[in-house]
Amino acid sequence: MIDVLYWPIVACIVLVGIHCYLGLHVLMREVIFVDLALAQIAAMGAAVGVLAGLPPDSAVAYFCSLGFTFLGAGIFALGRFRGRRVPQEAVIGIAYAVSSALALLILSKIAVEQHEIESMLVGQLIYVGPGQVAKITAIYAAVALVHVVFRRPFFAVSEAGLNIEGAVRHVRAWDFLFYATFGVVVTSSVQVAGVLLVFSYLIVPAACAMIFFASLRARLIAGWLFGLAGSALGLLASARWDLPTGTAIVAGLGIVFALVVAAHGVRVVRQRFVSSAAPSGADAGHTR
Amino acid sequence: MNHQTCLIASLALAAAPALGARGEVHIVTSTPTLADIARQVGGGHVSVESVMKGPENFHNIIAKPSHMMRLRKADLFIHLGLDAEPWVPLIIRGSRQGHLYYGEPGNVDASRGIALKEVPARGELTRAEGDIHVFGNPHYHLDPLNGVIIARTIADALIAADSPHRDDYEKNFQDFAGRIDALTTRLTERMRAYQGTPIAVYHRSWPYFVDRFGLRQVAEVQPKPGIEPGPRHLSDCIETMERAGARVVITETFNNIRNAEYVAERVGGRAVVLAHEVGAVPEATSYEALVEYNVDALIEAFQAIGATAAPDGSTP
Repeated sequence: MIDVLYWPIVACIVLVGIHCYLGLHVLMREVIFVDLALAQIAAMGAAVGVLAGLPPDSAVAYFCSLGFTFLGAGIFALGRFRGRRVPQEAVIGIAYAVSSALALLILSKIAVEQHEIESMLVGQLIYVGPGQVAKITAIYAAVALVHVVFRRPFFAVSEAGLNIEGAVRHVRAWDFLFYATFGVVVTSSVQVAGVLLVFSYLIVPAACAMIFFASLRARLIAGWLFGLAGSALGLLASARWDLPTGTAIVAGLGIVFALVVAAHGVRVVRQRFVSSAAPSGADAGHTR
Repeated sequence: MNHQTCLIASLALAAAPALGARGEVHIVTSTPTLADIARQVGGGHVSVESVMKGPENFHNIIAKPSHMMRLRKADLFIHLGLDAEPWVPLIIRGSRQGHLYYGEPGNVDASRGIALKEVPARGELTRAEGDIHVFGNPHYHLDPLNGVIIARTIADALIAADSPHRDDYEKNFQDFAGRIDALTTRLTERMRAYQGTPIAVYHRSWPYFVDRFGLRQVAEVQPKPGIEPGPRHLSDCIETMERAGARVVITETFNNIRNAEYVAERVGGRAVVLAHEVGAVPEATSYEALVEYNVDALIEAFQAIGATAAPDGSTP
């Protein structure tokens, strides 16, 4: 069975690498659903490409999809207006719903490509081959390079949170560049893994890591380990019970998150106990 | 008002619409394949349109208002029956045309008289198995001889709706049946060199076709549509194909061709897209062209990988 799981496993490792990192940004920015929205905009771009008669899977079609993603990135960068009369999550939510609907409307006119709708959501991780893994690895490496080079402004903008004005110079340009690189990653990874798995890879490892660690380095390393643990859990379950691989990994990541939250809860309770009833606290914590 | 109208009205009891202004029977079908057969049987006395386009999957059509509007003008609505098209009951109800309801003469179930395959035995019926069809596999129109049975059903419906042209419909049916018989004989002859050749299918749409032309289906890549197979299923599927020497994977236009190609690559074979409907591929311009295209494409795939039970030069 390992022969069919070999490339999906490699793909998981690559996906965990970039998504955990970007997830830390996303959580810092508190724009959780931006990836869903961008993924959906990318899918709409792909549908537009098909409507325009571009051959599916071609480079032109990919850039068509990417073009729409950049458009979305531009909208989200502008969405952080001074005063924030409209929360950015609202802009993201609107973009998600409208681009989903438009993608469906376009696909309903084309008749073919129905599998696009299905695989958009759950993905087809089991069919990943060396070609696709090589492609996403190259794309993610390029994005990672951009992020290493510009790590200071990127993190400054992400950490600024709501007080974005004045945090960095050219803040909107950096914001756009962030969303653009983010869009490049999501456009590629959704094709391989589907929206659900990409969302989980972004949020779960980063959220687990942020519960326990404060420094970026520690969060990144912990996030990778949590991501790999969730993937391993999902892959094992998929192999053991013959379940769809991508979906099983989402469940595996969910279990990891539940365990982390439980462990954190135990720790918090124990600390409170220790601080309030000093001497006997240690014993009570022990018996749990 | 002409006498045909009176006849229909008396037959249908409900307020049936008048036959078209030019006295044509207006037929709406669920699929383009049924439309093509209806056109051939109806000849000059009918106008025909299909709800579905060619390349779609008839399991997954979303009922639209335009479908219902189309049905409003129909004297006959022909559909695949069984549980093939979950959207059909919706658009029949939405059309509010009493004469098209189930059991009424305007509602023509094309599966009548077909010897269905993969009918679940009593007691083992469970939706947990995913894409199980309660009444049997509904892809019966891919066997050309079932096409003749469909044509007979349509001819009977037309005669009931428009009896003055009975002789024409009978003659059109006889001609159609003759053409299909000749075609089937010719294609069976061409496929003789590949008798018993093992193949795999991406989805279980092909048992009628496979049996008609003497092939042997050994594996299914994706038994549940839309859900990726588990690793053991996929691994078993590849292993079964290797053991049986199956190197061709049949798939349809609405599936991701890359998935079938993935499996084909693993066994050193190739994936081939066959036409599941008239219009699914540009070559499938009619029912006969569809059947011929499927045989051609399959033979081409067999030849490309050099798979043949008895290689000979007699294939025309």
